Amino acid sequence: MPVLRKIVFYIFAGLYLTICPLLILRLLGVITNPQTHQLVKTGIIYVSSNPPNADVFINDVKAHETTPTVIRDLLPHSYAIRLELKGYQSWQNTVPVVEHKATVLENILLLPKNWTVKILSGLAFENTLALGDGNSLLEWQTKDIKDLYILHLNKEPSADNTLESPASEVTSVFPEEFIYSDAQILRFFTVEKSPFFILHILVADKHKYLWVDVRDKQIHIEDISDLLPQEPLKLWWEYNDEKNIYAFYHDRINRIDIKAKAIYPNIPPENMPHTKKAVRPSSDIRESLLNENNDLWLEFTAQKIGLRDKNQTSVQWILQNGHNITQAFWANNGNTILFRDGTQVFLMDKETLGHLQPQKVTDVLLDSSVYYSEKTGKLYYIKPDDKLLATVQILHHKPILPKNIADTLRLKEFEP
Amino acid sequence: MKFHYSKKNLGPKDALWQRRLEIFPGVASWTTLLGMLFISVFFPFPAAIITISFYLCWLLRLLYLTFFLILSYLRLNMEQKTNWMERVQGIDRLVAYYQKLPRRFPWDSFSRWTHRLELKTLLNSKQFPPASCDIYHLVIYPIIKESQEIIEPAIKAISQQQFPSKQIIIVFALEERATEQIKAGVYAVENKYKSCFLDCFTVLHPLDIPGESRVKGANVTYAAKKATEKITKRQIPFEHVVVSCFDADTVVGEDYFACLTYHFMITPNRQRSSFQPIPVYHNNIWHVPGFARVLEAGSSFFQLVEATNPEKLVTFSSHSMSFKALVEVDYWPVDMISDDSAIFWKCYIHYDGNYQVIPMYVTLSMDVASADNWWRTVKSVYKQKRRWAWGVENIPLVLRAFWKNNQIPLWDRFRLGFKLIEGHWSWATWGFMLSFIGWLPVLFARREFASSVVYYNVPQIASIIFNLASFCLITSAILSIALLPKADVRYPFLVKIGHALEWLMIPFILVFLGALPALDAQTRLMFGRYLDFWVTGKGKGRVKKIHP
Repeated sequence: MPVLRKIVFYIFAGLYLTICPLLILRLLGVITNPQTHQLVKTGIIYVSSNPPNADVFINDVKAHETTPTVIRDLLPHSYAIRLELKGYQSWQNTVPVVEHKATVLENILLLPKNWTVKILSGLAFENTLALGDGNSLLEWQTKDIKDLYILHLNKEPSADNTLESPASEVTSVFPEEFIYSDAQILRFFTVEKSPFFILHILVADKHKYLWVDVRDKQIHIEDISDLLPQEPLKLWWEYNDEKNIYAFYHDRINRIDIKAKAIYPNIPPENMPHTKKAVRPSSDIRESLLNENNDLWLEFTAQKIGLRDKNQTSVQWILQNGHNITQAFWANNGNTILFRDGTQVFLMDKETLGHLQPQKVTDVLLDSSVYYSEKTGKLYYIKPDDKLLATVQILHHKPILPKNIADTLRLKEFEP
Repeated sequence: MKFHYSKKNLGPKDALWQRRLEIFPGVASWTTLLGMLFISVFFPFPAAIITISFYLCWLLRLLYLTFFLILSYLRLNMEQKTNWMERVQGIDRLVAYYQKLPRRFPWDSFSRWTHRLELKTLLNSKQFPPASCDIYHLVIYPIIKESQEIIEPAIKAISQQQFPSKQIIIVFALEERATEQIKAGVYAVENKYKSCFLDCFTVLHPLDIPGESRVKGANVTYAAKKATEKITKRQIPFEHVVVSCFDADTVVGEDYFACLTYHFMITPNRQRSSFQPIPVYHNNIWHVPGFARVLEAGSSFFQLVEATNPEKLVTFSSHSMSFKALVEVDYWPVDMISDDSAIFWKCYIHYDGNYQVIPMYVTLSMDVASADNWWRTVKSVYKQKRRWAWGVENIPLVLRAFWKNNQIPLWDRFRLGFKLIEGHWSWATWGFMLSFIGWLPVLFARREFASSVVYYNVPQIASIIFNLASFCLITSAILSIALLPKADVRYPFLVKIGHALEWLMIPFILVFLGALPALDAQTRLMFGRYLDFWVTGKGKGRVKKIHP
């Protein structure tokens, strides 16, 4: 047995010394060219799509696996990639492959051949506004406070709603017996990530400010008018702070303690809680939006949309032929941009590989806002013809099952 | 070489080296783990290469061990049909017996082929054994917490041996600090079985003898010394005595001592030999949680594999040895927890490398560490594994001895020392490397690494390697089922299927009840926080059957 053991040991040792270098070469993407029989360095293409399970074609040859998948052993070259999935428009692009590198086509959004519109309410609205936490949508028919409605985005109507049978899960914010039911809404104050909002209303020529919390079934309202004797330019609070509000005036900033009903005047700016503010490189940029990875700004003007690295000041414009771009959103985990130009909403891939062609999604009511929720993957808007509140599914919510650890780390599951 | 095999009472230079070498295993393990962590975060490319190289090494080693596991299991299976007593009696008339053995055997008589080879070796060596009727067995049972319910089956099994029980001496090494109930149980067993053996007596080990730690080795050494007096009184030559130190729950088959006697007789260098059976943990195997079953099956497999490499075999748990050698090396260490392995090293160093362990393809059964509930069983098993891993305390002693002993061939010192160090190092690190650290390069991937071919190839190659390794897992599951005793339950087939599925717990067991206790032990040694001896809880769910 000891002799046998030695023999077997040397065999396995030889196997290790033989296989290990080959495995390392494989790891580095070095293979033997079948034609020249020489060692060549290769690259790979990683492609994932939303929704997944799309067929992948490389130079018109179908790959064995569907998305998400890794295509290996590609010689450095350009390859025409095409994704096809039933019910969706095909996606195609030409991508370069570099030796030892992975060309990553992540979360390619496949667009349906026909967008399915779902009506959320039978009531007509003139505008809509999302609360900062993205869980609720305010909509109103007129400026009257009694015409203010709310839609909780995680409590939408059932899936069988169609254009022909609208449902009414949209509810009135304030009850009929509300003491300010005759008030007129002047302004809304919302803060990013915050579930609260402040209403500036006019009641019998008196300015009132209402702090509203809509998280529970029963709405909580706090009249903070006494704490705002003057009309502020702006109101701001930390998104998770239920106690303190900062009122901005021309010459000062006041801190207001809602619970203690106290005003702390003339707060020095350096005592304000730190907020992320974009340093906008030019004044005509209408808005700057940071992506989920906190490393890229999406900025737009009336005609242009651009991307800017967080630590830089120069913007890379990826769209320059807009007309009146008023809103933009990151979508699909930062891989897609949804934007509103005039009365139309478009989708565009963030990747600058190849020619960018924005895809139209829908028309919206003039002068109304749209809202895109990454949590639900839907666009909320007001239809131009009948002013009904509607939604379009942009992203799909089936969990994308990872095929390997890389997928586990790079793909996110969506809520059902 | 006379070597003081202890960490106590050392000269300044020896004490310094002792301490340095105690730190060494823990440093090596932690350096490996933290180093891989560091490399994975800051140098992912080399980390990925190291990871894949390690996985391949692990796979090949696993396949290598599985190959020998299968061979060893087949040999064990084969030897179960061997009539050891017949062979013992054959050696008594060696020459005639050898000449009468058929020279050509049927293809399935590997056992007889090896037997013939062993006889030829014995004849050529001219180191003939004493007659079997002159061979005695001294069996020492250390007891502190084990009740009569645990001890009695073990003694009963010995009383029913094929080998004459009148040539067996039983010694209960009882700790004075044991409870009165335990003592009463021991005395009851002694009285009941006294007449079955040549002698059966209890030795009460006093508390706090100077120079001793509270370890099993101190207890059994004290008992062995008392037994020495009795053996001397009976005028039995030490060369004719084989001593076995069994755990209190050790139950042997009826052919165990016949097998032991055979190996003692057939080994030319018998006075420089230990005899290692295959430990199995079948006494209460069906009454413990699944993870404990898998773990102890793994322990048995380890010994099965080790048995195929007698040149590097080290004694473990219940085993036997020449009593003469035991006396010459001054018995077991009285201040070490790992007395089972330490006695081998002590003998090996004392005899300048002229010492060996003979594997015996016979099993003896013990209890799986268990407790009242699942969580306590986990703790009990963890502590037991940590105590086993405390064998790392031998490293500084062995290395110091090897450094001084030029009589042992350099190559032997190197390979045994390397095996000892590598064994403990891989025990403490490989579980973590496989379960966690191997995935760190991908987990901590920065942009540059995340857009490389390596980032995407690591998981694919790792996946292939682990899939190949599953062959070894399946083999282990099958062998463990084959090795298990019959389940005294209603649907034994379903129970066995359930046991096969329990092997899926390997990732958890590998880390938390394999690598972690070993790392714990090495870290304690590194910081000088020496372990106290902890008595393994046994007897839970004992099956009232004698091991086959």
